[in-house]
Amino acid sequence: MAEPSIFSTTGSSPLFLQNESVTNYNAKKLIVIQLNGGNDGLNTIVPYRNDIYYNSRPTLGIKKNNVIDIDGDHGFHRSLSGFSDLYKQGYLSVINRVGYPNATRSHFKSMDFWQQGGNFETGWLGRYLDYIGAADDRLAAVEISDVLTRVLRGERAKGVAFDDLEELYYDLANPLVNEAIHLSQTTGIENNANLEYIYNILVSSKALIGSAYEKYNQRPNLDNFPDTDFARQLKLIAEMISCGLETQIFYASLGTFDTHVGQSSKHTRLLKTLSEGLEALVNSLKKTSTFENVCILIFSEFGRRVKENGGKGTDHGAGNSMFIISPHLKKPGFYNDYDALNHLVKGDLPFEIDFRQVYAGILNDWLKVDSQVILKGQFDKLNLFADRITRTVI
Amino acid sequence: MNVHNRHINHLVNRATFGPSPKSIRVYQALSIPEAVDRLLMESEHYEPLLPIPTDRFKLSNPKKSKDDFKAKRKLKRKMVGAKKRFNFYWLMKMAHGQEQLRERLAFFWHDHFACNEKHPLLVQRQINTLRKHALGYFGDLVVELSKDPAMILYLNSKQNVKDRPNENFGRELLELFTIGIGKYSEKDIKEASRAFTGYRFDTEGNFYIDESKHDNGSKQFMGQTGHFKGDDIIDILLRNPETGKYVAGKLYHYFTGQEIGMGQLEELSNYFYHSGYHIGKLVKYILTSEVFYADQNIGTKIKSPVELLASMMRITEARPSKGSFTLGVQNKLKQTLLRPPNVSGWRSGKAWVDLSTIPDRLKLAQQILSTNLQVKDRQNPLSDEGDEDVLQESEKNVKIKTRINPLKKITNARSAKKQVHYLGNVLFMSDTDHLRPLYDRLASQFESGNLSFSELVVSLLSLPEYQIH
Repeated sequence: MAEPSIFSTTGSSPLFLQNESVTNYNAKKLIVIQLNGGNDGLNTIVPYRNDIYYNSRPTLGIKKNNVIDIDGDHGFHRSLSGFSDLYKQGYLSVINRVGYPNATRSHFKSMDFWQQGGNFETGWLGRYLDYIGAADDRLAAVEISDVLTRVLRGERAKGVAFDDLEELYYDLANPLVNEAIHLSQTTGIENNANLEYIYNILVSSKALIGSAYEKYNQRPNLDNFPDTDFARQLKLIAEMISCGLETQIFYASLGTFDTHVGQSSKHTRLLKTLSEGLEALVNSLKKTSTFENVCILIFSEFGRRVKENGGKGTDHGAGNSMFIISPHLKKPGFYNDYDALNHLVKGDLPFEIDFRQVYAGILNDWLKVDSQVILKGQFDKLNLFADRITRTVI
Repeated sequence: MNVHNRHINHLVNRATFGPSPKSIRVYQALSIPEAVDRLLMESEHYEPLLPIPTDRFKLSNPKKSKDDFKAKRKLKRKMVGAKKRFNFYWLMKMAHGQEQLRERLAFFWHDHFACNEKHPLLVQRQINTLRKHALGYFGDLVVELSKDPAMILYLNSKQNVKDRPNENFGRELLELFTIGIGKYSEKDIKEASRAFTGYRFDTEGNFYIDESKHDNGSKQFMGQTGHFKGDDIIDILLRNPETGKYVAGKLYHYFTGQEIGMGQLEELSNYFYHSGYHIGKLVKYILTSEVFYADQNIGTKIKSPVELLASMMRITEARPSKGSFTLGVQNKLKQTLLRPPNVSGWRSGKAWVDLSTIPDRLKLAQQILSTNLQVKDRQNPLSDEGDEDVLQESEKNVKIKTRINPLKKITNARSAKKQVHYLGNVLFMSDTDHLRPLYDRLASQFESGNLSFSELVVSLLSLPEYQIH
């Protein structure tokens, strides 16, 4: 890997450096799953022996016989049987009480903060792309969405957003536009830098998506996914990984988890969608022998208040749990102590781990880059991964 | 196309939201100065845009009301809906309104005084202030904006109090709104902020200064000393010719797409300064200047998403049945009216075009001219509350009424080939020599009836050349 400063300080790096740095895209994949709206961590992993929990949640508290037991004190929400299986197999790490100082309760501001990894104009994974010198003609990072949000935008490099690679391919294969491109190339466009720029973007997009589609067209048949929008996002990711595309970063999202009113049924449905989707994803990755290279990170912009509100729902809170799924975890299970109901701060779960420490652990030990440069600050990384990532038989 | 018509078309593209079938011939019959005068005349009239009845919402913060949870939630949802409604009405005004130059400038000021607040009535009020003074005196705009409730909220003037000044408004006033970065010291910002302490608005939205929160002390600002209030600070800033340079240079760039040269800036800003910062006069000066019609300035600007959408709706006389379509397009293409990304406004030019946006930009004509449209509307970009019911408006049917006949009428009575060329000249500002074989193909298909007029228009609007003006 070349000196990171080269990439972070210059507009464009020499071509040979770019090529060198992208050769290892394939090595490790990161899938980030964003739970929009503030997932209620307390009803995701239920502290079913805790009186404070039941006192705070007279209607929303989930009864002991309604959870999937974890350790005799805590249980997964009954929708999370897929999580429970991953937990038992040692593929799931639950990091508790994650947050950040002076957390805001605004969805957008908090989500921006998580996506940016602080108060920046760029996203944390966008800065990762800058760091590795991701070139425009490589599909380094994909957001499974019709809009590219902040997270994959760097100073120089950025990811690509699409939710249907086939549709995008055919959009770009439009014969009329092809004809125009052909004419622009044979006749040439004079003295119009911006029009030329647009044609160049079209040509490079067609090349990029065209070659991706060529591989994607050979994808294995993965038919075990549930019929939800979320599962379709994950299916696309599984297909892209298993057909050998070099894309390294994937970003998907689910929700809204903003359960102010009538939380119980909505939350049950959402967690079911999440768990079943992930289960299908992991199974597909295993089936195609690609799980080995994958780390999945799941987060939400904040947790919810411990006390339920008057509408059988919960309002915006602070500290929350994050989930990591990978076959290379150093500490599967609960990464740290879960219970903190005795130490509430203004009615919220306190936070003990800054989410950027999790980012730092992933950047340093999974993506093998200097997290301090990317996070623009010093955050003590969590040791999330086994010291030596050995090949396990899955 | 003769040079005169090309220059007129250039003027209409840059000073309005593009040609409409009705305006094309009217403007081509005028000389450039006459055309500019007509644009100004058509924009003389001002009427506030009021799609939200002013008694619909209270101005107090709904979070602090004593209503129960469900009522608050309902109210919040209504407020989000109202802001969406304003977005739609303003966009329709841009596409179809008579006062094109006024909306053009209001759109410019919305970017210059970028602000993103939630309360629909405050948004409505602010945009109307921008529209009202769009072509008037710049000083009026700045003073009004400094006292504008949405701006007071957005830039924390409410938290700006004696002994504990919040510098957010003071800093942006200098850096972004008036003299521009590098022309002031940090001390100037501190002192300016003191002068704006105590800025408040009442429950009717009327501005007042809370004297108990206002710092009456003496301030030293840009070399002057006095017991300045906010208006005095703005006055000092306006007397500084740097403000004229900053604003005139930015407007020049907006219309021409080019950075201004030093000599030209001197001339332009002098004129602006001595007109008492009259925006209409400055605009007229730019639009009648020779340099505006220089070849290298024609057909070279990438349309912003709002410009692309409005110009396409204008030429096809498109009227969507619901705002969710136009909002979805703005969101997808990354420019949503009433929701600039931050106080410095939108990044423009090449930033609009990338792999994630270009397919949608090219597909827009097809969507607008298709009769029935499924609109994906998963995210509501105007809501700061991720309320489930507000967000989950998936797959809605939107009907878009278009009228393609007026355009057909003015291209009629020519050979198919001439018709295609005529349309190309109306729609494209860039050089189109390279498209000749494509024109020929379209013309022969059109002549043989294999291509309807509407399909012909869709084809042309789907070409990369239409992304530029």
